[in-house]
Amino acid sequence: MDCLLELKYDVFGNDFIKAGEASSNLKVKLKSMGYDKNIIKRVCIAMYEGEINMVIHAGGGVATVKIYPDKIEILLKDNGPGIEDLQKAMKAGYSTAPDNVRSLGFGAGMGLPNIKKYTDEMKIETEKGKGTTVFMRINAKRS
Amino acid sequence: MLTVKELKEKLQLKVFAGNCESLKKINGCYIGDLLSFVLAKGKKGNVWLTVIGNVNAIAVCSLLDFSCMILTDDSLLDEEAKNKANEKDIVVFSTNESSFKISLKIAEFLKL
Repeated sequence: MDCLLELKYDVFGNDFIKAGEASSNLKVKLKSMGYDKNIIKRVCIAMYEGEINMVIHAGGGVATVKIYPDKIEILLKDNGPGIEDLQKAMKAGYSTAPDNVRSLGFGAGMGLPNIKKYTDEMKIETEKGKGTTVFMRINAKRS
Repeated sequence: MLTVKELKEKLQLKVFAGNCESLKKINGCYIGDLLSFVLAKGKKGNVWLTVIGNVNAIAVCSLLDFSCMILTDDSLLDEEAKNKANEKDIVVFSTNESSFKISLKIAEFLKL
């Protein structure tokens, strides 16, 4: 099926004020396009966690969202330091977030586990010193 | 049925931001300060009890369509968060009570 809409969002590193704006904007778009509310919730949670990861760990990046009638695909690409130990990072409760970020309510160690939980497909490519790419797909239906 | 407006009156909450006359319905309560847990476990229509009064909490509240949030134990809402909450029409209350006490009262009002 053809892509209905492609969106690109710049995510800025360490900017906790703007963090979440891409997810918020995407939520409005998906609502107006008539997607199921549970699908929208799953997309928003996955997108928000991914966005926050780029804000905290990667010095920002770019989120590309492709909206199809039957699925939503999100690609998060950053040029950050890469994930040191991906296996550990996927474990619920494991966090490398610094203290100043934890005091904001982050650092639960649930970012990647939440993305995995709320998507139908998740793929991560990461290289130390070069960056990380996270691909996610959520199967969708429009009401 | 319990609305945000009724909750404010019953608990004598102080208003930090948003339209406190809101007739949004309340269906339960979620307590937590770690945003990823709140994202994963909170449900639309819940009242969120937390001590995190920053702009990121407002983003979470908006993404999940919570009915309102209550900053417990006299926790503060910072200025940026207040502006964001007003912009997105998120109702933020404050109380000197603990999350535990407030949740007990909400459970009583909802006859849970």
